[in-house]
Amino acid sequence: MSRYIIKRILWMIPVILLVAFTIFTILYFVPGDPTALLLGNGATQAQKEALREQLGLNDSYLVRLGRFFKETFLEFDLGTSYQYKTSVSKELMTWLSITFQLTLLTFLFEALIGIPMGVTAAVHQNTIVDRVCTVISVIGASLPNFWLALMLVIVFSVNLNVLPSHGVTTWTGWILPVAAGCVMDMGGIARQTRSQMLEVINSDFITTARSKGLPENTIRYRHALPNAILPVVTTLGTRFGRALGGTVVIETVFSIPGVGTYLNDAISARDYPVICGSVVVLSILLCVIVLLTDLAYALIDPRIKAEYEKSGKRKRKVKEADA
Amino acid sequence: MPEQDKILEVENLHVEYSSGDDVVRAVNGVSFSLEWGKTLGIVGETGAGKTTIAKAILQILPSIQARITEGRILFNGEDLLKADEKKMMSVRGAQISMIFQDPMTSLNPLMRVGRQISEGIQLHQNVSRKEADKRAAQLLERVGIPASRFREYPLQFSGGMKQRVVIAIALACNPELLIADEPTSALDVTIQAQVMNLIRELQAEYQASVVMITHDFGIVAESCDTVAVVYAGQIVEYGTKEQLFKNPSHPYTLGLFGALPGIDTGRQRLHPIKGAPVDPTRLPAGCPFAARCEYASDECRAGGITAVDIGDGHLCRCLYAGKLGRKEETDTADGKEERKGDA
Repeated sequence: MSRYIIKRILWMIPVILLVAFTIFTILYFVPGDPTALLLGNGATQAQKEALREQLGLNDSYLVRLGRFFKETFLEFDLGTSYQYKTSVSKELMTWLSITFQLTLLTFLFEALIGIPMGVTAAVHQNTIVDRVCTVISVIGASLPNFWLALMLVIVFSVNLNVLPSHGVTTWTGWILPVAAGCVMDMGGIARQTRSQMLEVINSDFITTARSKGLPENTIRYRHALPNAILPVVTTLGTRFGRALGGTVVIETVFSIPGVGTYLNDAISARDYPVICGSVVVLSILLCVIVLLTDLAYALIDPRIKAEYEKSGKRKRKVKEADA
Repeated sequence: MPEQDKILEVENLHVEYSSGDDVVRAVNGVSFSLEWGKTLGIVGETGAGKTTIAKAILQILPSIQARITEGRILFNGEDLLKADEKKMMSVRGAQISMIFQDPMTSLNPLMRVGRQISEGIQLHQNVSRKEADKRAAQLLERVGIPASRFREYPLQFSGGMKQRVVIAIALACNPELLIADEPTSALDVTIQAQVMNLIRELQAEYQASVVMITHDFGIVAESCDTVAVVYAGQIVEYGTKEQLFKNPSHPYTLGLFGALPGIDTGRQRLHPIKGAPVDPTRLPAGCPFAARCEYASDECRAGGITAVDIGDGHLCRCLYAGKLGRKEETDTADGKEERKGDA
């Protein structure tokens, strides 16, 4: 198993290098001049030129690419923001940690509400309980999150005045953003869990579990759910990774200083070090999440674990044969 | 001595499955009984309703599709169909347990085999997890698997070993009644004998009564005391093993015996029962076997056929009960014709 993990971690290196190369190249070709935005409308051509020289923007593509790679991957320095004149790594850590908390909370609620809802719908298939769960899921999945976020603000902050409308300085501040963020995917998770459970619930081993006299909840959650959950884990993992970079809507509505907002502003300002740095760090995080998702499979399903172990061994044998 | 000599009495059991608009009448008025410590064989072809009968006893039929519409299932004199779910949970696994047909699918692939045995023990015998695990490990040894494999997963076991685990699960709480649903059908022939021997040994050791569901007359001959032959959800013939083997009376039973190879009869060719089992969504008014029966008359198709006692409790659901015997082995001409037809 450790062999498999090491192999997967090594595979992350080319992926991340490729991401870095791609984002750098895209930014090189994207029109727009950061110096114009930095110096404002009144700046002269000479001032802009001096700043371009100072930032190293006049160097050739290869020189700039080489410098970016050297600084990022050898010196682990993401550079300094053009706009804020601060270290990108430090800034990123603060913004990212807030986004990470938001994403994690949203993720937990999605899983902790969506999965049991799907299980309940499945075991009460075609009854009123199932229908109610279906209606809730479909409504949830069809609500655009920005609209829901605004509605929540209107109801809970403006009319009832019980929850803050922006900021996450107190714990109550988290409630609305998390609620607005999780409803949409919760419905999807519930639907997926339901259909997976329906496939598993008629399996022979569920009948075996029932013949042991186990209570219904033990059968559902100990025997059926682990066998149904793998595709849901995939969805949750993918969604978690996406949410890290893409909570910009929720962050904007609730004025949360997260990485989505940070990145978005940087793109408008052509703040190259911030864009490149954020994308590289997010891609590393995404790789880690994908790896964790795959390891979660192995944790849940011993057959997949055996598969992983086998794949590690087979590769080694091939190498031995080559040598 | 228990209060009554019968551990299990099933009376007039009816089970229906509904799928869409179709109603499948899987079990239609089945009655049988089983004495303490004895073995009852339920014989029939695939789809005859054997497994449904077994699952109905434990009430582990899929609750959404299946419905027990009529009947009584008396276990130690108590009607299980009137018992509530809580009572049934204390019966399942503890007093009545079941060995399933396909060991490949009847174990949870994601749970360690030891735990699959011990969770029932922990539940019913009210012991700690540790104690339950210890007993489960002993059971593993008892069914011939080293206790060191306790923490392995089903994928690390062969089919025969998985079936041993399923047997260990069934015996975990020392049940009074064991229902074995074709316990050897999915196994290699070499493993079948081992598993059957194991079941018989354990039956003697635990003094359990057994309902043995099978389509194999060999197993019936070896291990059963009484036999019920099931066709289209009805018991067409019912009697002791001796009565049934010496004097098979229902045309379907005769057909089953005709389809068996025999060493001493010198038979060249087996006689399969012609046709396919009747569609259980459209059961005929008369005898369900009439369409395939060579003795069938218009009276058979009209209906009103009841089981007739043809001597000492040997029941046969046929208008011609007691008037038919084993078919003579003379129809070689027929055989040739069939062969042509096949080619």
